[in-house]
Amino acid sequence: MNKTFIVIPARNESSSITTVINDLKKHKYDNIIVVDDGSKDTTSILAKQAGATVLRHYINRGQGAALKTGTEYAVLQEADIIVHFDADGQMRAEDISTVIQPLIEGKADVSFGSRFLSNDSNIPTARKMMLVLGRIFMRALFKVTTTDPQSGFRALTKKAAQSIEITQRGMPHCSEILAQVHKKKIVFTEVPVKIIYTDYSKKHGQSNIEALRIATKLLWSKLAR
Amino acid sequence: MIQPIQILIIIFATFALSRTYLRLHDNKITKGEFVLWTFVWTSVVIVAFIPQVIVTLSDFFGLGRGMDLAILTSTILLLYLIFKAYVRIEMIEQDITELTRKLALETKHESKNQPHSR
Repeated sequence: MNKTFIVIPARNESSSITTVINDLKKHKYDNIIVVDDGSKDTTSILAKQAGATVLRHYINRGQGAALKTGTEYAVLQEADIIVHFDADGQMRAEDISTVIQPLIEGKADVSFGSRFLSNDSNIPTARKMMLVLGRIFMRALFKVTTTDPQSGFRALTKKAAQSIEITQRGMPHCSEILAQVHKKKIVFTEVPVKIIYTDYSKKHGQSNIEALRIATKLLWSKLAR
Repeated sequence: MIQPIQILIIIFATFALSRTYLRLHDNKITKGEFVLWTFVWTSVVIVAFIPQVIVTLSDFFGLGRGMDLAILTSTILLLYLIFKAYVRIEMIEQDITELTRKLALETKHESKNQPHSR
């Protein structure tokens, strides 16, 4: 039996965190780690009340840093599979089984959820254009050819999680993980997932300006290496 | 005849030299940094005392005016310092993140291992 841990970085997500955890529990995912990344609201308390294990960053260090903390904790708890999941309700708990399936079957060590492989995601046009540009950028910079390089929905085996070193503290961690998967020749796959865009998730998710910032940061890290 | 601006520059550079020595004394800078800064401020004092030096040097490097060399050198030095500051800030950011992570993991670990009082 595979021990699956769900890692959720969260910052000021008090209005969605309980629903997200309840939904995960409904789908029989009981090992839920919420990394509260310096929230100023009741995210930690609500997550704990909902039954998640809460790790607290006393000051905000960014989503990438929070994911790394959660992943390290999951590895310490002898997780077989670690799933990175969002706190804003964009991702669906029912898609986790699709994302982890290739890992359970031993076909891959990392599985990425792609909103482009599914026709269900109601991606706003501006976001879609930005994601396509991101794809071209990632192909040019890191030779990464996945359909959704900015997807934060992914599952890793313990072995892959130990091999990938997340150094980007902020949002560029998505591209960084992909680049490392390619560089370290980790076997990966992409599976379709549905991403739900609500007014709340759009407000909490990446803005197009943020995307430009990510691109600059990645370019800088590539040049500085 | 020595101009007031030269006197001002010499006073400032001498003050900076004394600070450099004090920072080395406090172990706030490394010996390498001390040598670099002593070289910079001593050069400033020499150029302020004998401005002809910079003209001779700029001729040697193939630059037209002495001021061109001064501006070019200052720009390179400033860019280097910005780069160094950037690297140091990034290192501090990484340290803070690592500390925050350790604290998060250890706090969780401790609360798990603590016996319940009730």
